[in-house]
Amino acid sequence: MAISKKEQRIVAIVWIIGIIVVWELFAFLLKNVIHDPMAAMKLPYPHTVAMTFLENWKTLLEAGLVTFSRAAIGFTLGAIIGILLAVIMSLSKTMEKIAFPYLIISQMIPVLGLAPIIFNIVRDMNVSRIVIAAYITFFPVAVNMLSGLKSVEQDQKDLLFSIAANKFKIYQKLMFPFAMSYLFTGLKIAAPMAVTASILVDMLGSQGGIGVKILYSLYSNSTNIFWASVFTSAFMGIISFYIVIFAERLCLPWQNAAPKKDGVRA
Amino acid sequence: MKKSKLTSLVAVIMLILLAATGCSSGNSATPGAGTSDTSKPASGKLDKVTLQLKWLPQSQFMGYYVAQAKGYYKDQGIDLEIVPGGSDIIPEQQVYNGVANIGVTWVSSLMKYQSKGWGLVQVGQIFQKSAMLLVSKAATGINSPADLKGKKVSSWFGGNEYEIYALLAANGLNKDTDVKLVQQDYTMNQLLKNEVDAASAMTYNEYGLLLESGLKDSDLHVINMNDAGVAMLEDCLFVNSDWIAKNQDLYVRFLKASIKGWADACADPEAAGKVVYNVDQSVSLAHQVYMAKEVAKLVVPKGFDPAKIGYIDMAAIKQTGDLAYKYGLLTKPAVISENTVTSKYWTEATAK
Amino acid sequence: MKNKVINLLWPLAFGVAIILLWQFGIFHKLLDLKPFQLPVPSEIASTLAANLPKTLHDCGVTISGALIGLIIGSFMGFMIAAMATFFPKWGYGGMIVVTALNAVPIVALSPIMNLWFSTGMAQKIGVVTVVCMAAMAINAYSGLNNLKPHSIDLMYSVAANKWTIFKKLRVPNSLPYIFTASKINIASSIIAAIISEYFASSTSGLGFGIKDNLRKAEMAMGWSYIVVASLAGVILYCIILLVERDAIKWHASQK
Repeated sequence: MAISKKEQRIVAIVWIIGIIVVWELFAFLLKNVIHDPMAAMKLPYPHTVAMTFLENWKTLLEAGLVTFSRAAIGFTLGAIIGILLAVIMSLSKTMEKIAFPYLIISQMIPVLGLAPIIFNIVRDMNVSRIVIAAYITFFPVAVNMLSGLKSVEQDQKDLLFSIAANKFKIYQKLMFPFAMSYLFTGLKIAAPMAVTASILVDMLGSQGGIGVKILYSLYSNSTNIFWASVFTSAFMGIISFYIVIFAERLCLPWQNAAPKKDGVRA
Repeated sequence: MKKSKLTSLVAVIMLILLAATGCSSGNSATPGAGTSDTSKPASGKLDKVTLQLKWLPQSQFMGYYVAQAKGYYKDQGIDLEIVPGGSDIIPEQQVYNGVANIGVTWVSSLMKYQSKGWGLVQVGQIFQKSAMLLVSKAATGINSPADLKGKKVSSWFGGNEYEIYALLAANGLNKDTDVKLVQQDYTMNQLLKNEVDAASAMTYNEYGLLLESGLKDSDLHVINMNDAGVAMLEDCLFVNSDWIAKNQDLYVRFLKASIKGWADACADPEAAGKVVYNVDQSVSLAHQVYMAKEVAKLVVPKGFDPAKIGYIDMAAIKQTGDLAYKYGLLTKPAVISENTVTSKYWTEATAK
Repeated sequence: MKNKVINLLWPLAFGVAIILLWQFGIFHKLLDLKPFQLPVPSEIASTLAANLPKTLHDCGVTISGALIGLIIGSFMGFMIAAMATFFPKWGYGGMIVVTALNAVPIVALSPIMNLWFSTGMAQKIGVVTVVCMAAMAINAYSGLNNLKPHSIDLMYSVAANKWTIFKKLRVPNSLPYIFTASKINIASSIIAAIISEYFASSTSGLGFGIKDNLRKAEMAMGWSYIVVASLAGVILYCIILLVERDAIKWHASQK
């Protein structure tokens, strides 16, 4: 049973209003009942954040676009690297055994330690930023894609082998289609992560971007701008998530992706 | 059907990638680091120079922004790119890597890198005084450094803790047993929330934030590192030794323009704050102006000749090095020589 | 048995090769790095050995925070996915909220958590919880819903109710996805704990050690902290792998 468009819209509106009301309530409690002196920073009123957003929408939008476009580039690059790594690892068990622990290790190196080395190799700010964004993004894609490729039943592979399909054909006809649901799950995790990565990269000496806004407002105690920037980044996360869902529906129309279809028949 | 979808997905990815690479290569052509051997300005072509700040674009660096806005760099045949710092950026590394040509950092931090073998040389001193304060609420009753005994004190660490170490030691306190040192984030919230008794603050920034948060001067007790005799020098200019060997003239021209910018900024901090505010509006104009006024006091302290902006006071450098060695930042005494800190270019830039 | 040895040998051989290339300056030459920019393994090892008790203590602080956050975050993530599965119409909003949270950078989360919790440990757990929720929620949701064709019809034909379907069909189906999420979360929980410590009001933990030392040009010390973090990550990953092997023996990925 599919949920109709109209119902979907109602659900979304109720959620949004619900969150705002609950948030307002808690902010009110914090400020006026508990009398927390830090209330504005801990949990500001959503309407204050909205007002700040409206007052500064132009600079926030500009900064958001800078960050988002870099996130898109980092995401694309990271996704491609992730998929390639997963395919290589699925081709050979030995490769997987060799590579996987080192992929984990790669994720343990913080940007503070990594950035100087990348800068030293690339010696260009903009390219380095993209490399670092991709570096942070590739991991969930690789892990999910690999899980997907490995989840194909052996007898199905055997079946294709028996009709003399070569490795390429097996991947094309069986493995890739099967792994798609895992891949898109990975992409859904990676997409908002790419936004985070891009924000982090903003802080590497960038002129614009939400990351600069966040760091700067934090440092200068501009609570309202800080929260408006945080909301902007959360919002960008939602957009990136929906872009992946949209791509998933385009590519895998047979999948009961997202809330489009009701998994359970009532 | 499935196959065509897959192919189209691949096609889309390729397209995005293409756009991405096109974009990035387009970008990379423009800024980057100015290469080492540059041509003379006479040809009418500007020399590219990249300046790496220690922190975000703010009035702490107003001199460069003012010089930039007034075209002083252009007059010297320089096309300057100012690269802001950030939490994951270390200016010493950026300059050594060649991502930037000239950097702004604290003297003690630079000394540490030099002692580890990094070929960097100090070529200017913008702040003549230490801006570091230890601030506490008046109610806590810290009237003198000795009162810090048994108190919780916060510092940013990462090299910013040594003035506090020196302060404690100079007052007979052991930093490990007599006080509890904790890390401070970028805000002053820990002090405001009374989670620490005394917090680090720069005169030009955090102290202003405390005032903006509604506290008055009379609500706060301040220990000034200059008064306590443990001041270490902060914002200085430094370059890669290899770079400066090939670009002496270029650096002198940069310094000339920068000194002119700093002189203007210190003469009219109000306007300088506005210039910085126009570069990045994340922070209120009022705060940038406050910062500009405080920074001016560090660049041109009372009784200091504005014509000497950028002057390297070797006695103060030596004190910084001695404190850094005595309190453990340096494992061997700082080497102060022509190769680590030189007034050569400053003398040349200020010669009439 | 022989296979197991070989399985272990390959990654080890690779690691040894890397360490040798690194130690003998091949990397430094290739990448034009100086040893004071990226210290060589022997220097890192001797620094680590000299500071072992402190480093291990810091490691304990960080990893315990990361693990607690990982468990709370994963549990919450799974609950959100379960909600979205049980109540597809209303529950899916929770998934969107989690995604939104996932796009809030740790640099912003840390100071917020600093305000909500006054100890470094609680702040760290808070940050890690938020970071781990999304990967688990999104993976678990896929696992609970991407069922084999006709399996639901089969369950209905034996008159199973929603709860039975959840227990007998959806949860087993979601396990491979949950392990996938756990592998991602192992990495992200540790790095989140480390970054949160950059801002925490304490002076212990791997994150503080990394930031403090790298900023002060104590590269060998900073990198020995990074090495310890990496080892802890690999050990935790191996544990997840072993649990996975026992828990989903039936699954194709384990054959």
